[in-house]
Amino acid sequence: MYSFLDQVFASKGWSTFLVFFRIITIAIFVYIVGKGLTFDAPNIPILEQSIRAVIYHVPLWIGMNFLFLAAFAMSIAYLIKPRWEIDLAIKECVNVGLVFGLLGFLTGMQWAATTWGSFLPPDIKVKASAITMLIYLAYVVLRTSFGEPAQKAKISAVYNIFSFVAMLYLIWVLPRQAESLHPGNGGNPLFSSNDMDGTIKPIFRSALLGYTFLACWIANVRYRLVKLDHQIKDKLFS
Amino acid sequence: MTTILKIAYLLSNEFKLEWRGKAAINSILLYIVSITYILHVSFNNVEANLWNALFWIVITFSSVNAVAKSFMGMSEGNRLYYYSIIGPEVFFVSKIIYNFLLLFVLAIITKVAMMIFVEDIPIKSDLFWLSVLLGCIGYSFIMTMISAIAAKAKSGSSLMAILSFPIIIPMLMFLLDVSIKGILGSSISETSQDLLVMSGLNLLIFSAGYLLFPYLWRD
Repeated sequence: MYSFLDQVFASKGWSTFLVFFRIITIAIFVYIVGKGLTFDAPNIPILEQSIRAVIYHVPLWIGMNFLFLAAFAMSIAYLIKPRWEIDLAIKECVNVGLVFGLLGFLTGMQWAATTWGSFLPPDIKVKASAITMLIYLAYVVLRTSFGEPAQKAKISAVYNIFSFVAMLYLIWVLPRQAESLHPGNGGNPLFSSNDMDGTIKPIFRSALLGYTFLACWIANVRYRLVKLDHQIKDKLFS
Repeated sequence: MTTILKIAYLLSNEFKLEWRGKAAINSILLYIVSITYILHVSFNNVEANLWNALFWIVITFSSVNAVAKSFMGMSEGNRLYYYSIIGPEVFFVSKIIYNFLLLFVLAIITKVAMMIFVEDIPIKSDLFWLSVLLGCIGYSFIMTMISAIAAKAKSGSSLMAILSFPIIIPMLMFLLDVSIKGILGSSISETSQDLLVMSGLNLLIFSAGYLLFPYLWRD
């Protein structure tokens, strides 16, 4: 399995794909920023013009979710067959995911302050996302308290799987049970044509894609940097 | 040996070890009594909400200390012996059951201590004890799993506190909600939705821990 993936990642086709991937990401961001700052937003009850924040708040969280999903999959792959590169990749995915989650949290606070008047409204999804960030920060702390790399990688992979399951429960299952300000949770209807009409939907959907691609790009760059650093330090060039 | 016999044997082993060296449980008891005495000195008039919150805070902090020593006492040879003879799952389940019993006893002692020192709030419904039971089960699942993770690390019990507190928080939110309803008098049938969510959370944590524990113990 790994030798096949190694061949794919070393091939020329993959590097041309990456170039296209980055060009598309930049194009999406030019579109989002350009159109997002200039479009006419519809006036929605309660939210009114602050619906504009949905362009950057939700995609940041989706980017974080995607990176943590990737970290989860790689943790399982590490437990099946350990390789040091996978461990580095997991660590970088969690790091970048934490940054995106922090940004999502801050933008959510900004949105709440303008719309509902307080920075942290008593909302179950806000609490659940704060707890998720704490769980993944505890993952980073866990990594620092081991000396031996193999043991560190294995135990942090186990904790990563545990914390991803907890994240799924906290962010997706729990808010549906309780009352919440977020759409789709706690008795509110899901995102529908009442909330967003044709003006905001294409920007929103391409933003979801764009931020996820950006998260993957940043994590990839960090991974390659850390891997090179590791190889230079340990003289691992094969 | 069947699984039940193995678990019963391991449990009786744990109880014997605890009875011989009573230092651990005595230190936890002293911890609980000291905290309740501090509460006695700090608060004059405690109503049900505050009492409930203080009760669960005391239980949370004492559970971190109580379960921290779960996996620490054994040498490498001992661990390998248990791993090969009994198998990791049975070992894990026996630790969980032992920690649950320990935490439940500690919860009862905390209730008595708070009744004496802080305020004798009359508990109007069985829902309170049901929430204590579910809470001790959940705490035992979480703390045992985290103690297994932290036992391998150098930092010891501070790491255990750091790892366990974020995961404890949602459970604590539900427990506070359900137990205050129990103190004030709702019946079990009224809060069945919350109880189901709590049981679901317990089950989720247990299944994640059960699947992952053998990987932790391969060393």
